[in-house]
Amino acid sequence: MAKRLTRWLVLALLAGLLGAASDLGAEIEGIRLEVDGLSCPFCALGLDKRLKQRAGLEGIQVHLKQGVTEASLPEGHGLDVGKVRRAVQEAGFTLRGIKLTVVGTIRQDGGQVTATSRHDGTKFLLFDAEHQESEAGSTLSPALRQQLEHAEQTKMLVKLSGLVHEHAGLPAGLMIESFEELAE
Amino acid sequence: MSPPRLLGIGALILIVPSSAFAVAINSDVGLTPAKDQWIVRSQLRYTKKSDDPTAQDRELEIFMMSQTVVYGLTEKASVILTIPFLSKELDATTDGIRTSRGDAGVGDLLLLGKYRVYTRDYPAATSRFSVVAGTDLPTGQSGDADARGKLPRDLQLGSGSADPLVGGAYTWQDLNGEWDVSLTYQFNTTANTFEFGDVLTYTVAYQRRVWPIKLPERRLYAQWNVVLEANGQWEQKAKSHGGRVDNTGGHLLFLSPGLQVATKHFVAETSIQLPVLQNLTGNQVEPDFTLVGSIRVTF
Repeated sequence: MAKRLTRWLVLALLAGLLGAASDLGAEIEGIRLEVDGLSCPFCALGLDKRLKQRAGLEGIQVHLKQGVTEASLPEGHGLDVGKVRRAVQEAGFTLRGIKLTVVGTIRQDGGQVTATSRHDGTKFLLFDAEHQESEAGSTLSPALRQQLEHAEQTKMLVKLSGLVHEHAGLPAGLMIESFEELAE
Repeated sequence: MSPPRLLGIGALILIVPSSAFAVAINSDVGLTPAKDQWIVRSQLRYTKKSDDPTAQDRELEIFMMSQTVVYGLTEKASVILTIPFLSKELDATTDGIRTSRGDAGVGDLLLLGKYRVYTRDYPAATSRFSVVAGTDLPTGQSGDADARGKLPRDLQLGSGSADPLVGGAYTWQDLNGEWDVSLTYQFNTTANTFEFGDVLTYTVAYQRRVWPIKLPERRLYAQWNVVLEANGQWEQKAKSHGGRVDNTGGHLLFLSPGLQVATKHFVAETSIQLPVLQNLTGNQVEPDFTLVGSIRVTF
């Protein structure tokens, strides 16, 4: 009886460790591609294959009615927005937008605030979805900027969600729709 | 309209629409496969012709199995190769005796290039226009003979000539249905002093999803469509030694109801083409119907 109990405890511990490892890998999660032109089941295979082959995504789930494709990244792999866009284009469709959630740290470089995904190092320039660019050129509302500065100073992990867009020669932009500080 | 031409047109209609998408059964479309995507389409087609106005009371049966391979060179450009295998049998009465003659083998290959020139994508919908150009190749025998001598043109497997064609196709598709409109023109050329008339082919097709009745909010699903198509073929009179040939050319219009199932990995479809207009010049056998079965896979 004691032996069986011990075995169960070991298994539970292993399962817990595996679960923790899986969480660590999900630094960019909930990737949601809004794909226009996708209007029949037979269309989906070409998109599925190209997102895997060209953009390195996995776990592709096409939701035809919503015009949305959900995907995830393999552990430790970063997101290349340009490759995702090209993959969708090569499949014969139009990428309207990418939404995702990133877990990482905040940093300011020359007034531009960035988020860096914790393990894969993907960097995003941050923008405020509800804030018009100010005269001073700030892309963040004062309240959000204050929150982000606090996260940077305390080196606290943050969880950001929003719409991603490309910048030529620069990291992709993330239009923040939700922000959350995470306890380490 | 002589049977080899009509058959060629049938092949053309079936070949051009080969794409990765849930397209109509007997019509051209503006959609093309994705870059580096392969599609293989197998089709079976059975045509019965009779209603011969002459005392010969001719009856013609044609089986065609075609294999079509489509490859996406880019997201807009694709090449299409079709290899038809044919079996034909003609029954006719001559001097009071009913006889049967036939032939079987590879027909004329068709090689096409297709380019999507217009795309407008919307959430869960798309509007596309493509142009197509190519030629059929004289790979089918055009001088076959049996014990009674050279077979009539009706029974030959090929035209003997390379015949270029051009065309265009428009598609509107959303989650509920799809419209396809297409037009092709084939410039038939001379082989052994004989030239089939040029052929204009046109199609208007509509397909409507009937299952699932209510779409699931999430995930992919298999989709059943009912299809209704109007497939028209107009052909000039043939020429021989510079003169027009009697009993060739004319205008045919088919109404083609069908059923289609589309999944992520394949499309299977069936249709029956029923003639609603048969304006054929002179004494020609008229098509009674054509049955079509087809399956497409992509990888």
